Amino acid sequence: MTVKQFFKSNAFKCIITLLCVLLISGIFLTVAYGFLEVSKGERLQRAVKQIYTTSTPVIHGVDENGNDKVIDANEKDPKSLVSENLNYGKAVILAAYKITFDDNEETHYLVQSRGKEGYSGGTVTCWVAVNIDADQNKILNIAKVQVGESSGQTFMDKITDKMLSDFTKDLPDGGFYPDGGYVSSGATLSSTAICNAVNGAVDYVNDALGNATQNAYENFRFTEYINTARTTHSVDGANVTYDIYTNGYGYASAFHILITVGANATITSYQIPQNGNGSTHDYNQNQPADIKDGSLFVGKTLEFFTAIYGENMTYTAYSGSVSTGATASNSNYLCMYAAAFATANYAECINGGNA
Amino acid sequence: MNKYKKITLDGLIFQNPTFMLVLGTCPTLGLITSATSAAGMGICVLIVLTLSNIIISALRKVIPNSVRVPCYIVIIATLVTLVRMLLDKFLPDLYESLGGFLALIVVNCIILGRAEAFANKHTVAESAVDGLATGLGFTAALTLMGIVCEFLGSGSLFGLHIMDFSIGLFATPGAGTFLVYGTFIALFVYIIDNFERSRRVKANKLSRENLLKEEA
Repeated sequence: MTVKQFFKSNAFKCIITLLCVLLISGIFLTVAYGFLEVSKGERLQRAVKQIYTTSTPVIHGVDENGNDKVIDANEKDPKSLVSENLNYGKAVILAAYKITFDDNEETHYLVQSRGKEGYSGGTVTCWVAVNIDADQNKILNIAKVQVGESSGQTFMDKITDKMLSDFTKDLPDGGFYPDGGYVSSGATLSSTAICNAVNGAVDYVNDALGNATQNAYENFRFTEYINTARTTHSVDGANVTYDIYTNGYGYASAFHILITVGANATITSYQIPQNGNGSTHDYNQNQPADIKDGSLFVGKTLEFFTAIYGENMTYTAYSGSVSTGATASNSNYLCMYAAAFATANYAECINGGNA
Repeated sequence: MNKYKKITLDGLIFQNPTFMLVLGTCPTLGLITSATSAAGMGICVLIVLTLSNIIISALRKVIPNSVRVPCYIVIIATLVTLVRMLLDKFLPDLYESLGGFLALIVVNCIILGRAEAFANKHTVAESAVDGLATGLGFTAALTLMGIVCEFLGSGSLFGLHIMDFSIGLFATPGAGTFLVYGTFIALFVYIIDNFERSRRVKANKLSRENLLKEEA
C-alpha cells in the first residue's frame, strides 16, 4: 500500500474519526471540569457541615508561614495543620484542622484519617472530631466519627450509626479495636479500618498536643503484626510473661494471646483467651486443637517458628506443616507470629524490664 | 400506530429494559434497597441514554462501521463523567450513595444496546424519544422495586421513616433484591401476556365480524 492509498483508505478514516471523538471528548471534559471541580475547601466545608449540625464552628488552618489562620468558607485550597501525609500506625493522616466554636467553649481537632487493613487490604477514610482540653493539652473524648470514602470495601452499608457513636463514649487505653466491641456485624474488616483510622487520629492529636507516647517495642523483632500499643510484658526472674494483642491478618481478626517464656527463650505456657476468628467461626472450628490449646507451642524456641516461616517470619515463606493436618491459614500464622515475637525478644525483655 | 407512540410504548412497556429485556441487572440488584438511590440511578441512566442516543444518531453517518463501538464507548464514557461531575458538585449525598455503580453506567448494556440497536439506524428525533422512553422505563422499574425493597427492609420510603418494621433480607443487596426483582419480572410478564392475549382475541373477533359482514 502506498502512502497515497493509505490516506484514502478506510483505516485512515477510522483512525482520524476515533482521534477526533477522543479529542472533542477530552476538550469538552476539560472545560466541564473547570466549572464543576469540587475544591478541597468545598469538601472540607461539606464535612464540617455534616459533623457539626447544631453548632457554629470556626475552622483554623495555617497560612503560608505556618501561623494560625481562620479558614474562610469560600477558600478553595485551605492549608491544613498537616503539610504532608503522616503515617500513624495503621493509619495515614491526610489533613487536620483545629475547630473552635462561636457558641461554646469547646476546642476540637478535626482529623481526616485513612485507616488501613480493611476488607481485601483496602482503606476507609474518616473524619474524626477529637474534643480536647486546650488548657491542659489533653484529649477529652472523640466528639464524632464520620465515615467518608472507602476503597475496596463492599459492606460499608453494614457500618452502623451505633458503632460510630460508640467511639464517643469511651477512650480506652491502647485504642479502639473490633474485639473491644467497636465492630459492625458483617463488616469486621471495614470496622478494623475505621478503628485504625480513629486510633491514628487520636495518636496524631496526642502528638500535636505534645503527649506522644513512646513505643516500648520500637527496637523489638517481629512487631509488624503485633499491636504494640496494647501489648505488655512483665519480667519475673528468668520468666517473661507477655500479654499480646496481634493485629488482624487477612481473614483472621486480632488474637489476644498470653505467652510465658522461660530460660533459654523456651515457651513454658501459651494460652489464647481471645481467638481472632470468634468461637463459632469456621476457621476457629478447623484450627488444630494443639494450636488452640497452646500445647503445640510449649517447649518450643524461635528456631521452630523460623523453620516454618523463614528468618523473617513472612506468611509467604511458609513451608512444611504447622501442625498435623493444619494448613498455613491466616489465623495459624498470627499464633505462630506471636510466639516468634515472644521468643525472639526474650533477652531484650530480660535486660529492659517490664513494659 | 404513530411512530413515536410505538417507540415510547416499546421503551416504557413492551421492551422495558429491566422487566422484559432483563438488562442492567447489576445496578438494579445493587441499588434497589433504597428508593432514592434507585430513582437517582434511573435518572442518571435516563440522561446518559438520551444524550448518547442523540449524539450517536447524529454521528451515525460519520463514524465508520469498524470503529463504531470504540466511538460509542468514548461518547458514553464522556457523558457518564459529566454526570458524575454534576452529581459530585450539586448532589454529593446521591453521588456517595451511588458509589461505584455510577461509573459502571459506561458499560451498562442498556445504553450500548440502544446505541447499537436503535440510535445507529434511526433519526435524531426518534433516537431521542427512544432514549427518553427506555430511560423512563428503567427509572420507573428501579423506583418501583426500590420502594418495595426499602419498605420491607427498613420500613421507610425515600428515606422517610413510616413504621418500625424491618426484614433484614431486603435491607442489603442480595437474596432479598433477587426475590423482589424476580417477582416483579413475573408480575410484569403476566400482565403484558394477558394484555396482548386479550388484544389478539379482540382483533380476531373484529376481523371475524368484518368477514361475516362482507359475506352477508
